[in-house]
Amino acid sequence: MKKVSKSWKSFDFGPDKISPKRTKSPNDHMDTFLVEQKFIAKSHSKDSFFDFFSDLIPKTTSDLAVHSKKIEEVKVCLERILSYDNTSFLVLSGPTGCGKTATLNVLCKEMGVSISEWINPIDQDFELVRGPNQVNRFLEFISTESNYTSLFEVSAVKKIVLVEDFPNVFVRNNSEFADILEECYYKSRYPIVFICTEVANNKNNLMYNLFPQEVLTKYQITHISFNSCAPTLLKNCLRRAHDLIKKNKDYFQVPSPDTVDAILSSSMGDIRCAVNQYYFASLLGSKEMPTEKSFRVKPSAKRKRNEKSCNIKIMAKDETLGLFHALGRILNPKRKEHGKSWRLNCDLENLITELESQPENVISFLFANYIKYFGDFSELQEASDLISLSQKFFEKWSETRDLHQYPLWISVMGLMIWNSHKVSKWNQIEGPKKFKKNILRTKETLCTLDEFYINIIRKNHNNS
Amino acid sequence: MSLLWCDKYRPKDFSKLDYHKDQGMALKSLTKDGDFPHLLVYGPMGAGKKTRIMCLLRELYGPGVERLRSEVMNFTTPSNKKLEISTVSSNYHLEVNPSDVGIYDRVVIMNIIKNVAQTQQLDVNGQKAFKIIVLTDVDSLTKDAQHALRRTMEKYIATCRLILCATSTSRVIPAVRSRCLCIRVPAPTTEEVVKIIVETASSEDVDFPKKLAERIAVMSERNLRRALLMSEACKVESDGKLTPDQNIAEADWLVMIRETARLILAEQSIAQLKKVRENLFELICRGIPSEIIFKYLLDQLLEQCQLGLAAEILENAAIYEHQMIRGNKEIFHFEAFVAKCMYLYQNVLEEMKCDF
Amino acid sequence: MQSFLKSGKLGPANVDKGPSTSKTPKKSKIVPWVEKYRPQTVNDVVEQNEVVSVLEQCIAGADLPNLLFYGPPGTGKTSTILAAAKQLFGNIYRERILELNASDERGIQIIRDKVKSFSQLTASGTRPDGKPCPPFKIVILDEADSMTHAAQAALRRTMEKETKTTRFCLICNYVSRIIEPLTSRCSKFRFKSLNESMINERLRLICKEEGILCEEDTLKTLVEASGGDMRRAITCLQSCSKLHGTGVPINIETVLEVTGIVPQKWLTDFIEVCKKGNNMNAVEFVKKFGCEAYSASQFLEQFNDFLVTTNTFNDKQKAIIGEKLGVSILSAIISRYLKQFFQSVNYFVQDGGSEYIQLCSLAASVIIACNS
Repeated sequence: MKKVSKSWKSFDFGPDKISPKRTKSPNDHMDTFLVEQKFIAKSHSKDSFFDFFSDLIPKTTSDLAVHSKKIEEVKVCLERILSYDNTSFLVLSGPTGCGKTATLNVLCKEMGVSISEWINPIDQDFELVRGPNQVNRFLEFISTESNYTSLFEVSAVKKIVLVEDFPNVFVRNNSEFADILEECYYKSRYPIVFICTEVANNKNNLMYNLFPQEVLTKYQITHISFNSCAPTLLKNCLRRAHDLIKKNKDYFQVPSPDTVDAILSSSMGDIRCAVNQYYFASLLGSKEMPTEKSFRVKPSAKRKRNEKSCNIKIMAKDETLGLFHALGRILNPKRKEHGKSWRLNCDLENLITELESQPENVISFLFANYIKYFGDFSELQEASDLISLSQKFFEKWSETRDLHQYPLWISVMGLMIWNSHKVSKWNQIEGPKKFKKNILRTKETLCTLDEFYINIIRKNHNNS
Repeated sequence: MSLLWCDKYRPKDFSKLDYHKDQGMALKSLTKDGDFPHLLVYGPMGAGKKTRIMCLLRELYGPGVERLRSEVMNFTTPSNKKLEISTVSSNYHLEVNPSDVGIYDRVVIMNIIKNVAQTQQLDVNGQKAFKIIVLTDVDSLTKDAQHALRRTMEKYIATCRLILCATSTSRVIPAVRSRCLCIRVPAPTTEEVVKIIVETASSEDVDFPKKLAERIAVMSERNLRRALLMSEACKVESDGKLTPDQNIAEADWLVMIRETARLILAEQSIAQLKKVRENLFELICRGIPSEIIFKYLLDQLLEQCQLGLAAEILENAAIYEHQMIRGNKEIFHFEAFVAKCMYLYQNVLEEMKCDF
Repeated sequence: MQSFLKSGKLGPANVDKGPSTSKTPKKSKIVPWVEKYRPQTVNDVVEQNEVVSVLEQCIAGADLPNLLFYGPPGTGKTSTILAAAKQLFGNIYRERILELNASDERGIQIIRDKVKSFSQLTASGTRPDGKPCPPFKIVILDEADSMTHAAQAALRRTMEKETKTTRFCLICNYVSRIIEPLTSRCSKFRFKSLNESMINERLRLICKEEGILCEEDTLKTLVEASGGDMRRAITCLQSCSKLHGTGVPINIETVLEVTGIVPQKWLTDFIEVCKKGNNMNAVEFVKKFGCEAYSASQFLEQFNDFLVTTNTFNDKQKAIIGEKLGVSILSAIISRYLKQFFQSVNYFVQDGGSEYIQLCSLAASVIIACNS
């Protein structure tokens, strides 16, 4: 299901004798895992004559668990950038295991384009000369690889350069990357495709750090973003796996449909994760996967979402109740009659623990959105009062972060309790407004307040 | 580029000051023996703090202090964040506004003072043994930075003196206050402002109607700098013919605040609150200090609201304003305040309806 | 130890507060008066009788316990320990003390390294000139209440381990901010706020020594303004004389200016405006007040005092003029109501709230109180 048959020639025969060992950047854990799996599979089934994973790799576009429109989009884009004379870049981004690399591989194969991929080298002296060396090599790779075809290829063959494995330096220092891009833009002859895995927090998000909007526009980079796999597509993929397993009944057992369902829902659109789980479930001798049936049977409406996705205990993807889910719950509080009074129908403790890691951000989000969800003005006023109160605790200059869950409690509870006339139509959740104060302090405009008059005077001076 | 009036006619010597002459003389005598303590100059905006500081520097070092150059200094915080801050300096002094860098002001203060204190004067024979650092907006420094200041003030006393410039001493910690000689610079009175406007205009060969000058003085709230800018703007706009009752342009942000206040009182609804939020965002983005917005918004609300709500509005303003200073996102507190005002106003309106 | 001297953290010349420290001794030879008139012996320390008597006994026995001095600023805490050190060690006292006084220089690391290395140096029982002196050193931790708790905890162990060679003296304003294990290891002394007449006496002495002309009234204002803080009073006096130049008598205006006291006129005007009961007028008044650049917190402090005194004034007159009865009840209400309110406003202002808005809201509530 993952990359194969790439031309690694530059590593094998390159002047540097770079070790061809594959290394992986940290956010690609699953990939490494996959490789290991493959290894195990091979050794296990020495006499099985078949390799589950390599057989499962999509060969045609129809095999891909990606929406056909998205495939088309990538294809068109690839054709376009291949037709250009000078360098162009393409960025593919999306969550892990949504088939970015697979799509590229399949498409390139179909179009007869060869791929050379940059892979972070591991050397003995790697520790000693980490930083610049890696960058230099990267640059060298980009410029040689993208300018000269290797001996083994027919020179007429079209080629793209793939960078999925960003040198670690860039992750930390993105300004350097901008320089490299600049250089590539002029030097390289072949299109370069970058694949960025999207991560939830902005700090590690390569897409966000390395390709900000201004870079995208500057080099006219096409950016295609992938969504995580739709369940139906995922199911198709598993069906293919199912057929494979069926053919080799001697060595594998066919997992029950229940298990398949559980796998589908717990993988949360990560195809790699789903396939791994499927493989694990189908290994001979393994019992039925321990699904958490007890949860599923319980007809509580309250935890529906949760329960669906925690039915496989092991190997399930780290499940987090996303920020947006939580926001939705806060902004749309459900109430439960409780005798004469009422209670909030929500697991508050859980909600808060989910949000605890980023209280300030959450409150900003709440602030940006809460107005739309209120139906009564006096309630709104109370809520805004509480938000303001909670915000006060994020003291301007203090660095103490230990107490930040309390303001979170205040604002969350405030919003939920006061909102009794809620507006329950669907509202899009907006991100908090980012604004920058543009303070111009020149020698003459000591403060922004007087700028107005200075502008008047200056304008007239210029006119006359 | 021609100079603005307020810069062109800025007094350069203590003897040329238009008001607070006694204080000027006292400051002059302070420099007599070539040495003086740290100073804390405080007063409202446009009262002439900077002018006095420049006079003092000139008195100490001679006209050399007027050869200013501005440069950008770079610092790295312990957490490896790079900071940039623009400074204005001459051979003898350095002027900086450390609050520009927000919570990192402490690092900037420590570094700047250290830098300045460690570089000895090249010109050994003629000049003083110390340089002067002028820190502006001291009252918006963090407490942390102020504490750091206290120590640094003592440590490098031999090679540098500080002149701190603040709008009020309330926010300067007592430890810093007690280490400085505090100089209070009150705003000029309305009469003084009028006199200065007329005199300045006449040295520009402009006949400035006294009535107009009076109106400007009131409008500028005794902020001399703004008054002079206003007068010049008036002069420029009127094509040289000034009339006593001509229109004085009101600053755009002030107009906007007025409009915001009007919105608040015009309708009390959720949609309206959204509009107000947009307006406030815009104001904040323009770089109008949030305290100023709050002050004028409150003024406008009090002025436009006729229903005897003043006391309640004031009380709430006090609470939310304080929360605003404590917290770090002004807009939250503005909105809470606006919502509160709307709510109060709505209640009063409804009561009145019931009475009918 | 020499490195401490060089770094300028040791020795009283640098640790003292006040604007007057700015005078570089080597250049203009003007010693800050706070320094110049620091008590030379423990006996000279004004007012603090208990502390003095205990310390004198200690000095006689050539030993000291670990000390913890607490009390309001300017009551002689630092002076006392310095004087005691001088008496104990004579002219080598500078070598025997380590003074750390800034809040930011005392992370846990500093406590560990500096204090430890200093306290591990052995001190001989004799002076260089052969006279005997106690074989220990003193570590003075000024403003100990701003030390982090972790640093205080680190100190705890050090304190016990080094009892043989080192005595610690912690100085702070608020004893409650010192962790319990530390306070229990020290003998605690509370420093009382100074009596006005004592400060007055001292100031007069300084005036005489320095040849300053100063009216009795002026001196009185100065003392009142200092609020029992000797250091503040002395530094004010020096600032005044500096501002005036020598030979010119100091007048009350200068004192007011330097201390930043708000003239009484503003207070009475404020009450007047409030009594009229118009909010807008009050706001106007506050605006005007803001233009004068007086400190709002100072104003509030004075306003508080003012309220208390007007109250008593009315109480006295209550029996004589029946008509004033209403007024006195009124002001009684004002003061009761305002006591709480005043607290919050003052807190807001100190905490960074805008003076303008806070004063306006004070005015509004005074108006409410007047009308009730």
